[in-house]
Amino acid sequence: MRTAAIIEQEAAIWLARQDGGDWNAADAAAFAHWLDQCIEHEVSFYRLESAWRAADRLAALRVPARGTGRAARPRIWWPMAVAASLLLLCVSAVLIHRSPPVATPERFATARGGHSAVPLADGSRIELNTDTVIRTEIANDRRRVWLERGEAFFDVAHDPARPFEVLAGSHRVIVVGTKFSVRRDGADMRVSVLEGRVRVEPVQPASLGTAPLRLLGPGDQAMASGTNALILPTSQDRIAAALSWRTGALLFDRTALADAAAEFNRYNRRQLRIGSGALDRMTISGRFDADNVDAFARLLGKAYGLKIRETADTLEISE
Amino acid sequence: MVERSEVKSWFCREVLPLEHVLTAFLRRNWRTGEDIPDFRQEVYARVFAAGCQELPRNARAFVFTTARNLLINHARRAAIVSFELVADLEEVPAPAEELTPERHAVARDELRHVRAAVARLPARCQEIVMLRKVEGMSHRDIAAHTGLSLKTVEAHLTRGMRGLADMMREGSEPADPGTVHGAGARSRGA
Repeated sequence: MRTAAIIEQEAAIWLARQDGGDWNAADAAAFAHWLDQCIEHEVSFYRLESAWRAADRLAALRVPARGTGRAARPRIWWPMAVAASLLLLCVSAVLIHRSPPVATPERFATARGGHSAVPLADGSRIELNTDTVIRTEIANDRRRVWLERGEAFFDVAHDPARPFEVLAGSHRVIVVGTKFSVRRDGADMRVSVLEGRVRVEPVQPASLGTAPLRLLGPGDQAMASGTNALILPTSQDRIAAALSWRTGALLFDRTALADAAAEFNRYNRRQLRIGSGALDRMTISGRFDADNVDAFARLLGKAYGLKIRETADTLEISE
Repeated sequence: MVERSEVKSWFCREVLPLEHVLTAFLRRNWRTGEDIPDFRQEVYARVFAAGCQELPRNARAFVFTTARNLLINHARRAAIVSFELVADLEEVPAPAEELTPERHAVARDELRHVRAAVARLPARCQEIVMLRKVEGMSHRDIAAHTGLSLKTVEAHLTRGMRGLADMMREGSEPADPGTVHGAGARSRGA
């Protein structure tokens, strides 16, 4: 019988190779083969990967470079910082229920096709979708997150004493404890509520005569652009579709082909281009893997007899 | 069948955070400590396989029931534990309340938690993990920076990965991964 330690060592070697950057298609294929061999391989790898990802939080210890872009000499401060953290851990165990940490600004980002979860100091949790940048500031009296771009799902720890705000361009979302997602495309933002209640309001002090938007509840979705905001009719299905990215899927229900393509393009380097003409009126329904644009294109080709022209970076679809 | 990616995210979100409690449960109920990582892996594999059919509604209950059945089967097969001991085997640890504060404390203080875990790695390994995670250096840059070979850097990283997984989940001393096997991983820091 192969012991856990042997499998774990293999898993660690794969993870280190992935981490190393010289990862090519052949490696990916060999890795997929290894992962498929048995479930023990899978669970062992996911366990290491999840801890290794969590260690990304260490990036917060980085001292911002002054002047020069790159650290030229070894830093000697962090071994001490690490040693001190052991002590801190003990101290914090005592303090943890008394005083929450003062505002500690942090920044988190994902690459195109990325998806990662960030635990916050207050017990809340944020899931970042593809190509997303957020900043967080968790203080004693309030909790704020700036969605600079992209999309994120928020699972907010209930704390009436510290409102939780998400700022996305012109609007902010205010909650005390709930689950919802916010997506930002430049000046446009969209809020989808899974649980609890949230309030959406303009970031600028309300101009005269601006009526506040009603509270959003489960199944509600609001879209805002500039000073305009619209609440869509309550629909659990729409929320499920809006949150499907959390499981790596895209759900379409009579979605215009161009919109479906735009969704895929958020996740993949290889971009879909849709020719004009009758394709403009075509709609798509179904469930697709967000990171498998090739399969989507093949399916379109088969199902509707569309032509697909492949280049290195694009898939052009035409009649 | 459940989508693989969905099972994976469920496993990372619901099952892995139980490792601390699961490991303690296995330790309390099995006399030889060295079997624990194997048992744990078997529990994970069974739970994951079941998740591929259908995600259990209550991950915690499912994990501990699986662990309990596994221990009973092993005890019977090995015939090293008397029937009374098997009968005495602890029931599934009581739910939610026990775990929730831990979970929150971990989430609340993840950075400190990670730092403490790193601090317990061997010195050289610690340095290399920090160069990778804090400075964001590539493996090659780390090799150039430390004067070690790329292979040695990677051996330290694999060791760091295993150590972190043990310590971040368990909050206890890991079995020294370097002594088991692994080319180059045995060389301890200067």
